[in-house]
Amino acid sequence: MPGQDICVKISGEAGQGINIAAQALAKAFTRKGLYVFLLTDNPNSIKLEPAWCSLRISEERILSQSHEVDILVVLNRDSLLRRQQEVNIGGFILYDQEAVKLEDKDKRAEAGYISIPFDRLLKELNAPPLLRNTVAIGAVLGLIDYDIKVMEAMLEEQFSRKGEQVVRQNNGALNAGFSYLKENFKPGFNKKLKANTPAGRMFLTGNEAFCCGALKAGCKFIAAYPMTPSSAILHYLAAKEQGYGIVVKQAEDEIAGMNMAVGAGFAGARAMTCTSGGGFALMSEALGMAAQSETPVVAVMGQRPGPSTGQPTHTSQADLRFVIHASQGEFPRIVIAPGDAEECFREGFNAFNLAEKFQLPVIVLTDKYLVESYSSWEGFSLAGLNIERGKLLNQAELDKVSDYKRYAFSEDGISPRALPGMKGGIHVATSYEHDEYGFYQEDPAGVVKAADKRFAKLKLIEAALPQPKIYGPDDAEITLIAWGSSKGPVLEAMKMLAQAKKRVNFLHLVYIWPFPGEAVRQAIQKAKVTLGIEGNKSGQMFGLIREHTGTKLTHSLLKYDGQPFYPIDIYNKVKELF
Amino acid sequence: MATPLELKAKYNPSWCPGCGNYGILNGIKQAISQSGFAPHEVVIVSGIGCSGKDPHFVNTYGFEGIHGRVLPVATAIKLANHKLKVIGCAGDGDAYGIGAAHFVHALRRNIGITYFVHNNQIYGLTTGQTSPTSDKGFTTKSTPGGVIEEPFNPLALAIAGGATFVARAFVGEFDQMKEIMAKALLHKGFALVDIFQPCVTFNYKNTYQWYQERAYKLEDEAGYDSHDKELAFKKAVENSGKLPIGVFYQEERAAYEESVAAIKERPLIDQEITNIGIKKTLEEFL
Repeated sequence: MPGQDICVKISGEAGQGINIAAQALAKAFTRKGLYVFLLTDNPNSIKLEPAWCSLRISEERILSQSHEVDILVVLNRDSLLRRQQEVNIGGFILYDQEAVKLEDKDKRAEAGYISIPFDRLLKELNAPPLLRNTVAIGAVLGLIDYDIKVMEAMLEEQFSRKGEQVVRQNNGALNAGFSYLKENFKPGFNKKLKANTPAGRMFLTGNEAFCCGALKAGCKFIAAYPMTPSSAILHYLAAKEQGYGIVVKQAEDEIAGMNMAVGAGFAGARAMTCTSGGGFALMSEALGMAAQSETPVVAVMGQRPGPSTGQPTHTSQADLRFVIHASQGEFPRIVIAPGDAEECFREGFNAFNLAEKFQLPVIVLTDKYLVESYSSWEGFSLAGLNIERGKLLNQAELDKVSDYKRYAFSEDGISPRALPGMKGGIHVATSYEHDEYGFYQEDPAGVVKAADKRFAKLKLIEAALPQPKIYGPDDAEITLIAWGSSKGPVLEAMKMLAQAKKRVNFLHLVYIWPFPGEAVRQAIQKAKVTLGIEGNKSGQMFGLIREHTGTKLTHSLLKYDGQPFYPIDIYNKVKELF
Repeated sequence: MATPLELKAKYNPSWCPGCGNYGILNGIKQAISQSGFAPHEVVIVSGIGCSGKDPHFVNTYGFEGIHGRVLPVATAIKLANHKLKVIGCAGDGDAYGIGAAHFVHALRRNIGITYFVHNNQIYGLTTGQTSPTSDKGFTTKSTPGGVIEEPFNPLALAIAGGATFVARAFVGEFDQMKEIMAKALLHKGFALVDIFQPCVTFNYKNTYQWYQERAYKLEDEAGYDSHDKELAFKKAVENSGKLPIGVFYQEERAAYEESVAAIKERPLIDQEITNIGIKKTLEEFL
């Protein structure tokens, strides 16, 4: 691995505050100028079931989690037995022997076991057992010999609204863990993290990044029904409701969520909804209504494993075919699958422009891994983020139109849009097949004309959408192809493969629909070996490539266990191929 | 304000001759005219069914959505631009069958929508199946042995559910219907007008004559007070074989849109979006 990484895994059960502790620690490292990737793994329960998260901390920019575990922190016996095999040779396990009572014969010889009496230390401080996580973080900082002050400041910031006592208890717990480790354990950890110059880096999730893009885009309305992994969008925008002047409505169900978003779009507000597969199934009918009525709308579809309820808190890329085909009939739509937090931000912005410019539904296809993982970023560039509303008329422009037709035929398939409330723009937007005025029609020739009008937009859309990006050398021995959130693990695997002197390049698809067939064809026709990488069982992108380019990828790497790709998965597969 | 003639659209309806929808359409135009709304300030949202075609025949803005989803679309239009007068036109299937969940939540939300439900106690456009409001024992294509369930009682549900304006009209009593519609349009918050509207093609039972024989006006009943919730509820569940028509219940309560912070100063769609600053928000992640 290039650079100096430290990977810390914290494991316990839901309700033990693992994520909160890890987030605070990760943010503290980010503030010291380090890069952090934080992957969380939560059970579908609020309490008791096993949960873990992993922090990868590096002096160099990192794009995904790693499978390595240098330090394992366990907060209960179950986690210790479950996870101790994952620790690297020479790694350490922090646990509470007084609570866990591990026998020597059950220990691994290759790892160092450090017992921190979490509960005893907390009792001495008169602090609640919930703060085991904070003691543990103090111990981790002690082990890697890192400045504890930055974490103290972090805790103060995080808990100040809960009162001085909570801050004091947390800092006490942190220092207790730190000191206990320092006093009872002689330094033996061989990795060191240098604090770089603080660089003003952000630390955020894909969902948060998307929301910032949506705010910048002037999203004014969101109606949604809570569903993992997209609920955080609803929460975040609700918290910004006042500051940004957004209407946030938790709808009675997903059907209402999508219908509301379309209604607000028709009235002229930039509007969205967000959900996961089950909710999107309920939204499908209204998705078609947006298309038929040519109403701009943005839907975030956060994937998790199906079918049906599947694995609600885990990750998947198995809804690609679903979103490109959802709803009856045929209509143009745009599907965007951002690959990391920065792309979530940028595409969160772009989605609203595209929806209005082309007057159609835009689906932002994310997944649990992308939207719930945290990563460190230099500030997002705001350059070039200009609001484009397409052929939206203002009153002065509408005044010049004598016989307004909402669905007027035009060469590019896009008709000037008047909004309710405007004088001279009266029309009916409709879910029925319709003529230029929006009136229902059954005349075969007219029906063809209307459908062709909507599909005429495709030409303009295809020209406007960014092409898939190729990373790595032109003359690679193997071309990797992936879409959406697999980007980070693939790029990390490429770093490892470069060290192993393998010439590899990578075609990453963000704009997935309309399918960029020609660009993909050109990228893969030069490659002798092509490896399609995606998080589903049936190779959905693999099939699309074959359908749209006539080319069959030579190999595929599919993962559908609810977990994201690890760089090592890809590295091993490529090594196996040549 | 516009005359009923100015509210006539260029298209003509193609409902069955004698359909109750003709009267309702006429009532909508007259009530809009009477209440003083300009055509471009009105949006009629409809679903699917014979009533779904209403927006095409009134010279106002319209959104003809999908079956059962009149209220979510209408709700969002009101929130995006609360200066608009938003009317929902639905059938009994739209409103009380497939769209029942939205109905319940619109009641408690008290959002500024006037909801005209065209209730003919049968599914017409799908050629004659049972509806949530079909009478018990009524035989249809889908219930040849007669309907087993009790009919849905929209008025009782609306009163219990927190509605602030609940009325029933019969298209055969046109003048009263038109007055109720005008009142509903001027009501602040959610207004339900359930309108009996005979389906002359598929409902052999609930005919003009059938309604005529049973309907009686609430305003003719001495001592009826539409501000008395308990009385209104009693009236709504009255089991006399007669059908009271009129305003069952009304109360003054803040409309949902009045309590939404983001639109206190101006409608959502009038808020500038061209150069929104997000620097401070991004800095929260530092």
